[in-house]
Amino acid sequence: MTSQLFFQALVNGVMSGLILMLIALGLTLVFGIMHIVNFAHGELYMLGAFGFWLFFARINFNFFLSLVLSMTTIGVLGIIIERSFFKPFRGNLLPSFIISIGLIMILQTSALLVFGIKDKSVSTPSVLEGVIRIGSVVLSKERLVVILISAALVVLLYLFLSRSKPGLAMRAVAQDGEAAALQGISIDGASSLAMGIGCALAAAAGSLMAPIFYVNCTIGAVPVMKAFVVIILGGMGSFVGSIIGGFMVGFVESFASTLLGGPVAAMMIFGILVLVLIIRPTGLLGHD
Amino acid sequence: MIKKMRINSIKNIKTFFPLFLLLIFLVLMPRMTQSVYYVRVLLGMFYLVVLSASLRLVVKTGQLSIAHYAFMGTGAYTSALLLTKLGWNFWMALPAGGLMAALLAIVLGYVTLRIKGAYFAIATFALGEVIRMAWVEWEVPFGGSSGIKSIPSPDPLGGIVFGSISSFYYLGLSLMICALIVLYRLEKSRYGLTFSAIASADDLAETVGINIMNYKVLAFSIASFFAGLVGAYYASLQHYISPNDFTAGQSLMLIVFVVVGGVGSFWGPLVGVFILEGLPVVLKNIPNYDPKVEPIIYGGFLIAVMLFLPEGLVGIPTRIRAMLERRRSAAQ
Repeated sequence: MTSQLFFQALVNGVMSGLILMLIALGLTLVFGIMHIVNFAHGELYMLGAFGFWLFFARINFNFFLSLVLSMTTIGVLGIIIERSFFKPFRGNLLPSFIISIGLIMILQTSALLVFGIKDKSVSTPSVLEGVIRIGSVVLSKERLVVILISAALVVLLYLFLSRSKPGLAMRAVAQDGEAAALQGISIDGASSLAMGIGCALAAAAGSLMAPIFYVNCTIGAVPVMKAFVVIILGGMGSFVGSIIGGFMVGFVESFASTLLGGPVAAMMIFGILVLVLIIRPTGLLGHD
Repeated sequence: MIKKMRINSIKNIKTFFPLFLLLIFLVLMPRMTQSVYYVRVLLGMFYLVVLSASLRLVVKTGQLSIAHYAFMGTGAYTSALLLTKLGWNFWMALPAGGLMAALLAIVLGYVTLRIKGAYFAIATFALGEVIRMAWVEWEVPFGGSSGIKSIPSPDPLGGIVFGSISSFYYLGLSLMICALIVLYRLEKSRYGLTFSAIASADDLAETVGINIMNYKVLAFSIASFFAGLVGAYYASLQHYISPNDFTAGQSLMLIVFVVVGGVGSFWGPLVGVFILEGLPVVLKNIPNYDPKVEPIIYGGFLIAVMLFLPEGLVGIPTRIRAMLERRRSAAQ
């Protein structure tokens, strides 16, 4: 493996790890507070990518404004979904599972009918075009910016959860809902906030990936599946677990697919997942 | 005692009479219609019923498995290889397919069934995909992504020759009836009660001396046995199988059939399959119907059932009865 190939795989690993983290942190936040698994999370990633395409490529807003607008729109959509569909099923795995499957069908088909079947491409903003050379290593500017923005979002979420009052309230609900309610914390409020933030993060991931890949109505399935592997590896409901899991999956995927090819990389990720679960049935940092 | 038995038998007649009518309809169906389409639709429902009714056994022990189609595929590949490579008789290859799936389930079950809840769901998803990738990657003997072709029809059995669509229809119907009888007997047996006990409180079940692990593996392997049988049947029905026939997405739909039909009732999966698979057929007959919006209607239907009928579609008669009762008492 040449140093060029190594650094490229490294950057790709960090990037896909951070993107997976954004998706996984949303899932784990929703799981921690509402004890449901939103299998339709990938559709919000997909809608976020379409939102970014709409604001950036069609209306020609600038990069950051489009990102923020896409996150806000999808965040609000997430709150509406939580209020109307998930609220009665908190803590109930089976019905919330069926609700998510229904949501996947509705959201995916709606996107197909509204945006059409053709792939949409989002051209890279001109400031981000080109490469940075460090010695003999060439790195794409665009990917470095994706890394910076997603890392900033992860840090912001961490600060929000550990410093701000609503963030602390959410963690209290995640630890013990009843005790938190007795202290006057609104569980409904915390659930809506969790879903809103979670979906906004998924939209951010979709928006950041839109210029690198392409956008169509089926792009949500694969990243969300990998994000599931991330949260299960790290332990559901654990913030640090998602970060460790995200980097693990990102690096294994990037290095194994560079060296051994795509299908083997996918098999390796699933294999590691099953092995970790056999040794620790609740993931690396999770608990019952 | 006698009175109790009588009440039981009346109750039995009440439950089984609609089933009896359904059975008569299903037996006569291919003779009543000229349309191969409806025969095919029903035939597809038969094996989906076996798959979902057997998956319900696993769900009943509290484990949400997304690998059921991988076990069906195991049966299909086993039978297809035995038929094409070793020239076995279909009636030997059929149970062999079931047994191979059950064997795989025992091995994987002891490893994975310690995992619970959403963790188990994702782990079985991963396992199912790994099994599928093995079929893709190993050209010998599985044929890679193009699969196995020209799988023969079942050998003649007691003068019945298999090949026509109606012969497969009756074979599928018999398979479904046999599977339902075995699963029903199991449900009402001591084992069935133990499975439910594990689902509702597995710590408690363990403290009263039930070896949870053995029971969970038992349920998992029985369910996989039926999935394997269905797989062997499917392989000879289609004459062709490939890794794309056994995806996680299809396993997810089985869970939808079980839960939307009603996981609490034995008949839930049957009701779920017939109504949810019937829905697109009914929609197709609406004039000016645009098939593109079908997933929106279908998804909306799933959500509506969960919101307004959390016990599943199987609860509709009870709901109607309760409503009539209320109206009657209001009138008095």
